[in-house]
Amino acid sequence: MDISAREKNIWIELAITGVVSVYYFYNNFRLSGWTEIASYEMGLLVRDVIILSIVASIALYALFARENPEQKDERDRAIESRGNAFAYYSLTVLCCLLIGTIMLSEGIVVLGKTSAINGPVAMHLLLIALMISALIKQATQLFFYRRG
Amino acid sequence: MANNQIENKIRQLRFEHGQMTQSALATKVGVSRQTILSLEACRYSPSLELAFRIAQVFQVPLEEVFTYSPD
Repeated sequence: MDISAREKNIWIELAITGVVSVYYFYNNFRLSGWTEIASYEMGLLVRDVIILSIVASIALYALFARENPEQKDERDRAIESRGNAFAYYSLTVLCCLLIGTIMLSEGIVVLGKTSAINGPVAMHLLLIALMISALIKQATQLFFYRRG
Repeated sequence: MANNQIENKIRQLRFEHGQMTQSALATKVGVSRQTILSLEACRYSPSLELAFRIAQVFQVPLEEVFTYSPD
């Protein structure tokens, strides 16, 4: 497969975003069911996520990105701006959905509890929105790189 | 960057200029080889500046490299 160093880096970023997000949300949900935030275990989880991100970045870049990416040219910048635009649209839509959900959820049963969306749940939903928009940015860039 | 109406003769001109490689042309005009590949496949329309730089490398007028053919 003919793949540039820049495209390879985006694949690596995509993999890291995916792995770290899945690890964080899986463990977070297992620990607190997303409703608590300030606990000792949560602190440990955040520490583990940071360590995992660093280790995964070093390992993946060492294994797959040996050559330095060439300087960005106009096509790279065009593709990057498309990725940013798609990520922006998705983040806007997700934030609007979240705002709507928070407004509507007052008094409605949410995640099996009778309270409205609390701070920690809102924070996790925002994190999911950020993660999705980052994935959309990287996927968009890869789509346009692969298309030629 | 959709399939566009701007066509070009970059590939032909490369061969007419001592079978210049895509990498060599990319280096001369300051872009990546993938960008030259995209240009030759007419999947990417270059900026005016890049178009002029390519024409300059082949020492031909711009319209000999790029042609615009509307439907």
